[in-house]
Amino acid sequence: MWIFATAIAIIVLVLALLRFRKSTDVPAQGPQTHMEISTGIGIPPEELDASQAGQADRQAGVALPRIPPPTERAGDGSLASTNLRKIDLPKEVELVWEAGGLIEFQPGAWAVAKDPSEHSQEHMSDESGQEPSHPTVEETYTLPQRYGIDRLVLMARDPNWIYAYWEVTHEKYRQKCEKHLRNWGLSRPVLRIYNLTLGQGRHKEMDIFISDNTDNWYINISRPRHTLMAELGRLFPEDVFVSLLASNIITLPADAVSDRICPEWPPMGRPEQYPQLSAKIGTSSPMTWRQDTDG
Amino acid sequence: MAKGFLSIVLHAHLPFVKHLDAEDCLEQRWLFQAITETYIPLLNKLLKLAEDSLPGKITISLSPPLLEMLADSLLQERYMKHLEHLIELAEKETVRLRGDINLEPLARMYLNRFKQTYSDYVDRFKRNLIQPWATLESEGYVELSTSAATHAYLPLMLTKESIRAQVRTGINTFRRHFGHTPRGFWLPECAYTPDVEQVLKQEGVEYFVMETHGVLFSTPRPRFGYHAPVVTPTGLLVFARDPDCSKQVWSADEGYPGDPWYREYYRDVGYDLPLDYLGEALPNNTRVPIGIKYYRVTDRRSEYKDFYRPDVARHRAWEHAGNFIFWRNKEAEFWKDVYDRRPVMVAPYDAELFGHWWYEGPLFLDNLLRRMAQEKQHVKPITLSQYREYYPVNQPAEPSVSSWGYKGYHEVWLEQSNHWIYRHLHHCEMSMAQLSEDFKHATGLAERALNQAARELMLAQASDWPFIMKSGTVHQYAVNRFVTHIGRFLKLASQVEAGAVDPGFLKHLEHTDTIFPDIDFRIFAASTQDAEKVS
Repeated sequence: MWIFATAIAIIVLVLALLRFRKSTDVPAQGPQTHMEISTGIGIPPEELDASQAGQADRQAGVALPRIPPPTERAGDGSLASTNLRKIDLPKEVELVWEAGGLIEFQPGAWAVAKDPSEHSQEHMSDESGQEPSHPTVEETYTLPQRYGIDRLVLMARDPNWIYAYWEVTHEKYRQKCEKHLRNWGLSRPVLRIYNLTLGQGRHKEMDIFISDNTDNWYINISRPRHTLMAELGRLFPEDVFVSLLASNIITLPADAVSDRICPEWPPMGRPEQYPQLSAKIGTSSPMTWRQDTDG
Repeated sequence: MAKGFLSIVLHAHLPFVKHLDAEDCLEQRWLFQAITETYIPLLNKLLKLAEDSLPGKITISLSPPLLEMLADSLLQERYMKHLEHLIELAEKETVRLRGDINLEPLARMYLNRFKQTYSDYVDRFKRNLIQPWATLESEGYVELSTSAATHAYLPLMLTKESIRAQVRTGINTFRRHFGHTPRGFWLPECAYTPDVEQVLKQEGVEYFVMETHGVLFSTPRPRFGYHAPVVTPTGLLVFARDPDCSKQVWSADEGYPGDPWYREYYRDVGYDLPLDYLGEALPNNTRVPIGIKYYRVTDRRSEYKDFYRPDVARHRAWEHAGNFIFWRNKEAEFWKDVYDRRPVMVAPYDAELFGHWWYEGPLFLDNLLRRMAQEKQHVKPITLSQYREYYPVNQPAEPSVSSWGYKGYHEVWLEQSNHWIYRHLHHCEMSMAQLSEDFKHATGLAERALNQAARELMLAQASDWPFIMKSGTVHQYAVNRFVTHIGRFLKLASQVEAGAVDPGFLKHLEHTDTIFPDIDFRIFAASTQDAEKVS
C-alpha cells in the first residue's frame, strides 16, 4: 500500500513542479528592469504619487519572488494553487512577498522617513529650493530600492564588525527555489562566513540565521587581520547548504601591534610605553567639533 | 642640536556647496565663515611670519572642493555681500551697545575686524585666496598638499577604479591651481586602504599621514613606534599622528580650546538677538551663529557665561603655545633616549579648528611658530618632506587600515544612520567603470554627459554626507544632496546607454555642479589605468 501512496505522491509532485515552472515562466519581468529604473527617476512632481513611486521601485527591483499572492492566484486558473501550497511553496515565499509590500515603506534611500508621502515632499522642497530659475528642468529623484543585480557585499567596519548588504534577483531566487522545491519550506536563510586566513582553502567560520525580510546585516566576528568572505544561501535539513550569492573578499584591520618582527628593525619601545590608543580619537569635520566631542 | 622634530599639518576642507539660485543658504555659509574666521586669519599670520623671515614650516592641505569654491567667482561675490551684511550688523551693534563698558569695546573689535577682513579680501588678496598660499610655498614657508577629489572615504569604496579616480582627480585639481604635483597627500579622515598606494605612487606623491595606530599596528612591528615613518611596499613614506599633540589641542574637555578665558562658540548674537534686528545677517531668518560673540567659555558645565576679555585670551594663547612646546621638548627628550633616532611628532589638525571653532587658534599657532623660531628649543619644526633629509633610510612595513574617526576605524561613516548609501554608491561606481569602458570613444554630447556623470558620482562620494548623517546637525541637507547626485548620475547613465542624452538637462547640470571643469570620465576606466601603469 505505502508503495502506491509514495508513487502517487511523487507523480503529484512532478506534475506540480512542471506546472509551477510553466506558470512562473510567463510573466517575463527581467528585461524590463533596467528601463523601469531609469524611467522611475525624474518623474515630474505632479506625476509622482508616493505609492506609485514605491510600486515602480518594487517592479524595478525584481528580487521579490513573482509568485502571485493569494488573491491573485484565485483568479489564475493555470496555477494549481491548492496543490502547490500543500507540498511546498513555503510560507516564507509568501512572507517575502508580503514583506515586499512593507519594504517600499522603508526605502533605503530615506533612512529617517517613515511615511512615503514625506519622501516626495522632501525631494521637491530640496529641488525647488535650488533650481527655480531653470523651470524647464524639473528634478525629482527617488533612488531605486533594488538594482536588479545579484550582489553580496561585505564591508570591514573595524577589527570586530562586518557590514553586509545584498540583493537577490527574482531570477536567481526562482532558479534556486525550483531546484530545491521539495524542502524549500524547511530551509532557512543563512549568511555563511568563511575564513580564508587559516590556509588550505576556506574554513567555515560561522552561520548567521537571518530573516527573509532583510537585505543587510551587521556581523560581530572579532577576527582582526583575518581575511574573510561570505555566502548568502539557505540551510536545509541535514546541514545541506545551498548558496545563492558569494561575496567579495575582505581583510579586517589590526587591533594590536604586530607579532612579526623584522630582524633588521627590532622594536625599541615596549608596547606598554605607548599611550592608551583606544581612547576617544579625534573627530574630523569642520562642521562639527565641540558638538561631537561633547556628545 | 635638536632632540626631535615637530611637524604641524593643517587640513582645510569643506564640501562643495554652491546653490545657484539660493543666494544665501545656511550651508553656503560654511565657506564664508571659514574664510572670515580661519583662512584669512591664517594667511595673515603666516604672511606676517614670512615678512619677519621666521620659517613657519607648516604643511597645509587644501582639499579640491575648497580650492574650486575659493576660485569660483559667484561664491566670491556672494562672500563679499555676506561680509557687507556682517559689517552692517557690527555697525548697528556699536550703536546699540554705546556706553556699555563691557560690550562696546567688543562690538568695536568685531567691526574693525570685519572691515579689515573685507579690505584684505578685496584689496590685498584681490578675492584670490589661492595665490597667497602659492607665494608662501614658493618662498619656503609652507608646504602645500591636497586630498581626494571630493574628500571621499576611500576604504569604504568598492572598486579600485573609483579610488584611483578620486585620488587622481584630486591631484589634477591641485596641479591646475598650483602648477605642480603636491609632495604629500591628505587621506580624507586619515582613512587608509592599501588600494590608494599605487595611484599615489604613480602620481608622484612622496608621503601621507595616518592615525597613530595605523603606523603602530603595521606589519612587521615598527621599530620606532609612531615616532618615525615607515615605508610602504610601494615606497611611500607614512607618518603617524602624535597622540599627545592631538589631545592637547583637539580634546574639548582637556584641550586648550576649552580654557575658561577663550571665546565661547555657542553664545552668538545669531541666537541672542531678535530676528528682525539681525535681518540679512541671517540666512532666510534661520538662527545660525553669525560670528559676533561676546562671552567666554567661563565654565564648560555651566550655562552662565562671563564677558569675553580679548586681552586675557591673548595672554592665554601665549601661555598655551609655551605649554605645547614644553611637552614636545619633554617628549623628544624621553623618546630620544629610548630610540637611537630623534623622534618626529606629527600634529595634524583640521584647519577650521583654528579660528572658526577655536577663535584664538590662529594666534596660538602664530605664537607657537614664533617661539619655536626665536627661542632655543629641543624640537625643531620641519615639513614632512624634509624628514628624509635627516633620515633617508626608513623601515619597510605595511600600514594598518585605520582612520582618525571615533574609535579609530570606519564606524562614523558606516553605521545605522548612513549605511544605506553604500548600496547606491557601489552600484554607481561599477556602473561608471563599465560606462567608461563601453563608451571610451564617446564624443560630443555623450562625452559631455559622461563627464558630468563622473562629477555627479564624485559629489555623491564625499565623506561629508555620511558624516553629517551621523552627527545629525543638518541631516536632511546631507540626505538631499546624496540622493540628488546619485539621482542625477543614474539619469545621465541611462540616457547615455539609451543613446538619448537630453541636452537641456545636461546643460542644466553642467551649470549647477561646476566642480572639476577639466575632468575626463575615462579616469574611471580600468583599461586606461592599466595602460598607464605599464607605461
